[in-house]
Amino acid sequence: MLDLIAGKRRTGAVTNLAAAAAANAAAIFAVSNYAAMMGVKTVKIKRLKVRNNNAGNTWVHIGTGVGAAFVDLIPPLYSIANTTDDYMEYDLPQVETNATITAYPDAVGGGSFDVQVEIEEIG
Amino acid sequence: MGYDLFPHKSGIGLMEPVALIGHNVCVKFSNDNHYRRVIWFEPLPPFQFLNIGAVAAATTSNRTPATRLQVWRNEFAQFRWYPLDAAQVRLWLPEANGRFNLRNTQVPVDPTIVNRDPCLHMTEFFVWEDQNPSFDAISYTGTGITQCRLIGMGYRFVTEALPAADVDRIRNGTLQCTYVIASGFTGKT
Repeated sequence: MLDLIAGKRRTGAVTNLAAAAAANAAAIFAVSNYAAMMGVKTVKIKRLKVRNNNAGNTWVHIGTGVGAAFVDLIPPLYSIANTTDDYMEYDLPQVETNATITAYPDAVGGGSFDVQVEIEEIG
Repeated sequence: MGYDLFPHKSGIGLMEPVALIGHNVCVKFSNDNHYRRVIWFEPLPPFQFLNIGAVAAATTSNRTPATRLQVWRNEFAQFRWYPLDAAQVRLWLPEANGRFNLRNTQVPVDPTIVNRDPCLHMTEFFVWEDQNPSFDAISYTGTGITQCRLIGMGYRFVTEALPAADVDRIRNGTLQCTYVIASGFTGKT
């Protein structure tokens, strides 16, 4: 059956989160608001990979904005030291946003995180 | 007496040729009407006909001629197409005339077309001889694209001129003819 609201899958770059706190939230997927484009593109997260690189057991936030403007798109994800977590579409609330997706950990414990997101672009 | 073939047709089995051997066509290019009869045709399987190249985030590329879509003299071609990469691509035919035009908007094609119009019949255009189209790409991504590849498919038709008497019969409505549009048209204000 034809799905007229289906989008196209794209991936963000592998992004290293080396510092804790919302003030250090890094872009894991950048959207564009280019005036010449037709319409507005929005995205939904379809897959998320989080590698905890010796950063201790802590929470990783996925949202939009930086610092005081950071807003969680989904509840923070708990990450165990030295493991890789893989969240699929069924694990992720299908929140739609047209803002750049950012992420930060609550702590890094001398380590860091590598995050990569796969999105579906709609619009 | 009507043909069951017409431009932008979308039947079961995806794309169909706009005409068969022996069919009459009128290829409209700019102000010219080329009344022809098809004497031979062949399919053109999906192929990459143009790579506009890298387009930085939030920029629009130059109009890039798709010379691979030219055919020989006395020939026309029927194409459907889609972009592989994340860009909104506009079709110009010839280079100065946009296709898929509204009064205030030139409608682009982006990769979602394969979900929304799997037959691609809305993307169909025709090329007369060496009057190839050009394409430009609006890069809407936040990071830019490293290439902008366009995939096309369709049919190539070899034609011969129609006798004047047959052209008169077509104009009088007593002889079947399929009209195909091979250029853009700027509307009147």
